[in-house]
This record gives sequence, structure tokens and C-alpha cells, in this order.
Amino acid sequence: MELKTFYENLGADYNIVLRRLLRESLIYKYLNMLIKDPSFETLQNAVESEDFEEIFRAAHTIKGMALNLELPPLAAAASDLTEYLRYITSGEADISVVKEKYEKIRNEYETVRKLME
Amino acid sequence: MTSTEQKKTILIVDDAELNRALLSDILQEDYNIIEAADGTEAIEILKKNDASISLILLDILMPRMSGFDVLTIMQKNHWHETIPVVIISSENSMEYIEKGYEYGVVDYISRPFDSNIVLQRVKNTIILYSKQKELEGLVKEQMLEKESNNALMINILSTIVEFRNGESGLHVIRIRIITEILLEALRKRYPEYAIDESHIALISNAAALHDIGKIEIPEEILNKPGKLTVEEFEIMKTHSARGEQMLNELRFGSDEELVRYARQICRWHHERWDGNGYPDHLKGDEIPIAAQIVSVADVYDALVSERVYKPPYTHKQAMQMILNGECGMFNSKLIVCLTEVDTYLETAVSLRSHDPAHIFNINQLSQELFQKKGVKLSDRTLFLLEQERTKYQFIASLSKDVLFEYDFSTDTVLFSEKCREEFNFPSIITDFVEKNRLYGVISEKDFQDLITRIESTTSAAPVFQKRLLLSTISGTQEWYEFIGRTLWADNDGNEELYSCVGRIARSQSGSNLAMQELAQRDALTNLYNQGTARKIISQTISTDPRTTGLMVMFDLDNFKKLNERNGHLFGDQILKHIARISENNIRKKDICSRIGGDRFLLYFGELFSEEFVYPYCTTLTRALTQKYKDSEYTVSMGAALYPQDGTTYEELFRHTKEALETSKRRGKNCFTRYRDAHSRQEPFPEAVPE
Repeated sequence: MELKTFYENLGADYNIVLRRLLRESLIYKYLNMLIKDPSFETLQNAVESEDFEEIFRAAHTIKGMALNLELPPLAAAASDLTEYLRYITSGEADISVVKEKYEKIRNEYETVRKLME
Repeated sequence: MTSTEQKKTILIVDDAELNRALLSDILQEDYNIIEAADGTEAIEILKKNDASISLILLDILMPRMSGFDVLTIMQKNHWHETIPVVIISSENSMEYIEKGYEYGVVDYISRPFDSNIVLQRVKNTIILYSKQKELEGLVKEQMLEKESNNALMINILSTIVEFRNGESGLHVIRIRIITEILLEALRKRYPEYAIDESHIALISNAAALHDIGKIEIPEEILNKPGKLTVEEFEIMKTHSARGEQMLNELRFGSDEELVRYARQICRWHHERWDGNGYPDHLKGDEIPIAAQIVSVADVYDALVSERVYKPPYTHKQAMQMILNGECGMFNSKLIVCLTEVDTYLETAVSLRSHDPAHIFNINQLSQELFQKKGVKLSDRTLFLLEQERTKYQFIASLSKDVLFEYDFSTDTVLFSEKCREEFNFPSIITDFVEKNRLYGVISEKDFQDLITRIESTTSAAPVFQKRLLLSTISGTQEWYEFIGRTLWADNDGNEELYSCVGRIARSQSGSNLAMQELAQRDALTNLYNQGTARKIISQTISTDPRTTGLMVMFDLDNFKKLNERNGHLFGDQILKHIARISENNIRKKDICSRIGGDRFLLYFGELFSEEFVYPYCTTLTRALTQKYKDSEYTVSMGAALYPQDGTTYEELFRHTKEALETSKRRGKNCFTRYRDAHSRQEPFPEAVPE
């Protein structure tokens, strides 16, 4: 699928990405790397084991990558989770809230993945 | 970036591969990129490459070791002072940013990355940082120069004062050196005295002024050849207080630390630990440590110097006397320090007395001052150098061979300790090439050959190797391999010989080297000497008894008269000349030797026929008797064939000699072949100068 279409489907602005990263071939490469990045798995494991610090870190990494690749929905979802965890201690954190936010991230991730195939 | 400049290196630290790839792609055209996936990896890379990394792009949130942890370790190793760190993180909360700056982070690049922006920021940061380094370097250089001039002035002035005292300028230099050495030892061992590097420099400087008060002492007392009377001695003793007074009355600078030390030293360098000194009878640590040290230095130097009333004592004697308390009581801690630096003291004083530039470790002073201003640039470099040196010394100590290191600018060579065991020369030698300090161990010619060989290396081909005959400590001569490499310094595009390191190892004797082991050569001509020639010729004969060989012996006619007329040096030149010609006229496997003052022996194994003898000898003679520098000379020659004229070396030799003697009897300047009692007479054609 063409990159332009890809981005349009995600509701993202392809032109911005192109301006920042300059080359289409590179963008392909990065998107592939994104899909393969272990952070998603790490996040999943962390949610299951309720390791809040790890959750925070993994979500944060995902957010960074999403920002770089101009994928606002994924970035927003990740940011949502990190901000939730940022100012509360692990005692106060509500695992169900966390799981809910995680699901959103997972959805976005799946969307991207499907589009890439 | 111009093509002649080297690409700078950037380290990217981020746990997400995507992020590293992004940055790497942006920067890799203009920079070398090293990547690290976590903090630990980053630290390892820094340890190996910290001198070559120009910038670090660092993520904060990473597993196991966060970016801040990395920064902490960098601070500990002082890397943060020379390598700028830029944080790449999507964390842009105020507290993170502030924390970052606390760690000395230089800039923040947030996500999403824009290629152009990243490139610009990186470029700017690197340029800014390198400019800073440059500036620091310049300032340091200027400080060094200033301090150097200061030290020079003090040196000059105090030397002048000392001259009037009848001391040589050497006294001042030595006092400084000894003071410095003792202070160093004190600093390490007794930190309670709170002496740091800049103090050492200042005190050593001030020490030069210790006898400045003697300017006011009348000459008759100062330079009296005999013992001083009691009254005269009392007057002499006033020089301490007078010196301090003069410094007190300075209109300027009397508050300077240097002057304060100088006042202490002047007034109290004759005080003693038990209170029996002068002028104030201070006791123990009432005496400022600077004065205590200078008084020890002064006593030592007086002992090892010549005086009107005594000869110089040796270092050992002086040490003995001081340790026995024969020269007054000193602080026991100083005595400990003195004992510690015993051997070093002796060498250092003799070495450094020759080079005033090294007396005062100016570097240390400037460095200290620099540190106070918070710039630790040279610290790290010095530390690294120290590391390398320690490594090298350790490896060197493991080797059973003698290792050496030579510096071209100071003409000084350092040998590893093994050299004393093996050859009995000291491990530090100055004026090495200039004075051929290895004389006695190595022949003059070999030494020059070695130097030539070393000087003919280039930075592209720096390795050299030479086998040389050396005299060992047991008096024998053994073969050694000199192997080494030269190091080059780049001086604005020109490459200069800077230094040289290498190893001297015993030669391995293989069976095929048996011949060479036997080889002992004549020093002047480098031909074989008689003993060797005999061995080789005998061997040749026994190896192949059926091949005809030719032995030729010749010498210069009237060599003695030649020497008398032109001098022995000229005679030597002719001999060398003849040796060269002989070598040029024989085949590789033939033997050419010098067996007497002006007598030479040649041997040709594998001769084709008897008929060859006459034409060959004629040609040889013609070649030999070409004029040498307008001087005409002639040779007489004798020849004998193997096996016809002799079947053993001894017989052959005897007959060849007889033939030569026959030539002499016949009027010289001719050639005779041996033939029993009836020598065939073969006159030469006249020697024709060609």
C-alpha cells in the first residue's frame, strides 16, 4: 500500500512526515522497525505482571517512536497511559484502568500492522 | 565537511532500534556513528573511545541503566567535561529538563525528530564544544609561559646572589630539585601537611631565595677560606633574619604566597627540630614545613658539594651523616621521606642539573591553578598518559629482554632495569648519541651503523632490525638483535622523528648461524679478522676437499713511511679503501680478511683452473693500486693454490706468506706464486693510476 494512503487511513498527515524524515524509503524502513520493536511485547508482559515501572517505560518508548513516525493515534494512546502512571505511585495505580489504556494502544498497533501488510 | 578533515564520531544511546536508526540515518553522511542499546553498552564504548567521541545523543528512559545513571558515571570519569551530551527524549517535563542541565547536559532535542533540525543542532553543539577546548588550550599555554618566565627570573636573580656567596649557580638549581622531590614525597606520605601541587611549585621556587640575606654579609666573612671565628660566625648567622627583613620591606607583593614562603624559608632554614637552630630557636612543627624541607636540602647539598674546608662527600656518605644525626636534628617524618627518595635523589640531582627547563615542574602549577578555575582538561589527558605508562612499565618488567625508549629531542634513552644485569650500564642515559654512551659495549662503527639504520626509517616503514655484537657484563661478546620502531610527530605537515622504542634480545643461534657466530670482524675495515678467516677457510676446505682453491696474501709497500708522511688517520683511510676494493673484486662466497696492520688475506674456494691465477692477481693488483687521494702506493702479493701448494690451511698459509716475502725481496710492487723452492716469478705491470 502506498505510504500516502497508509497515512491517510490513519488520519495522519503524510506531508509532515516526509518533510521531517526526507525520504520515503527510510519511512518504510522505520515503519517496519516499529512493527518489530520488542517494546510492544514488553508492554504486554508488563501489563500481565503488573510491573508499573516497566509499563511506564515501554509505553513511553512506544510514544516516542509513534511521535517520530507521525502516527498521532498511537502516540496519543501511549501518552495517555504514560501520563496516567506518571504522577501516581504503584500503590495507587488501578490495574483495570491501566489495562483499559493498554488495550487502546494495542488496537492502534494492530491497525498499523494490518495496514502494513 | 572537507575531505581532509577526519569525520567526527557520535555515540547514539537509545534502547529502541527505531530511534537509533532514525538518528543514524540523519547523521551518518557527515559523522561516524556508534550505537549503544543501553547504558552499560554506552559506558563500555566510552571507556574505549572517550578520546574520539565528539558528541553523545542520549535517551533517558532505558531499561536497567537510565540516561541519568549514564550521566552520573560520566561525571565520575570526568568525561562530561570534554564530551557534550544532548538528550533525545520524549520526556519534556520541566523537571527532567532541569535535572538534565544539572548533570551538565548541553542541549535537548525532542521528538519527533526533524532531520534538518537534528543535523543543525548537532553541528552547532560540536563546533561550540571544540572551540571551547581550543580556547582552554590557548589559555593554558599562556599561563605556562607566564609561569615559566617567572621561574626563570627567580632563577637568574638567585643565581647572581649565590655567585657572590662563592656558590655556583648549580647550588640554587639543586636546592630546588631536592626541595621539590622531598615535597612530593611528603605530600604522598603525610597528607596532614596539606601540601598540594601548586604549593610544591611555589615552595621550590621560593627555596631559591633562601640565602638572599647573605648579600648583606661582608665579603671577608662570606668568602673566608679558613674557619670562622665565633664573632664572624655570629655575623654570618644573621643572614637568615636579614633575608626575611629584606622581603618584608618589599613595596609590592609582600602578601603574595610566594613571598610568604620565601620569608619563612629565609628566616628559618637554619632552625632545627630540637630547638638548637637559629635565629629564633623554634622547635618541632613550630618551624614551617617549607623551612624544614629547605634546611634538609641545604644540608644535603652542602655535604655533596666541595667547600674550601672539605671535599665533596658522596651521596651515600651524605645520607649516612644526615641519618646519623651528625648534621643536626630533623623532623623524623622528613627523614622517612628522605630515605624513601634515596636512590631517586641521587639520579635526579645529577640528571636534572643539566636542564634548567626541567627543574621546575611548571605544568603542575598551571594545572593546579587551572583546576581551581574548574577546568580539568589536562587532568584526564594526564591520567590517561599515566595509565599507558603504568601498563607499559608492567609489560616491560615481564620481559626478560632489555627494552629501551629513546627521545630524539632530548637525546635521552631509557632502558629497562634488565640492562644493569645484562650490560652494566645505567638505565637512564643522556647525551646518548652525541657522546656515544654505549662505548665499551658496542663498537663505534656498529653504533654509527645502528644510528644510520634507525634514521633511515620512515613513518610508513618505522620498524628496524639489526644484529650487533655487544659486550656483556661478564666480559664476553655476544650477538644481540636490536628490534624497534620509530615514532613520528606531525609538525605542520612535516613528519619528524620523535622517539623510538624497542628491544635488545639475545640472538638465537641456529645451526645455520654457526658461521656468523664465529664471525668476528676487524673494526676498521669490517673485514673478517684472521681467526675468523682461518676458521672459515678451514671449513671450506674440509667441506669440499676436491675443489681447487686460491689463497692470496698482500700488503702495502712501505706502509710505515706512508703513515709517517701523511699521518695514521690517512693510513687508516687507505686501508679502508683497500678493503672496499678487495670486497668489490671477489665473489660473494669468497673470503676477504685483514690479518695484520696492512696485510690482507683472500681466499677463493672453487677456482676453475690454475691458468686463472695470474690474470686474476694482475687485475686485482691494478684495482688495488689505484691512487688514493693523490697518494700513490703499491702492494706486494703472494699466492698459493690448494691443493697443489698446500693441503691444509696452515700449510697453505705458510706458503702464501713465503710467496709474499719473495715478492718483497724482489723489490716489491709485484706478485709471486708459490712453487716449492723454485718460485715462479711473475712481475706485475707497473701500477697504473687510473
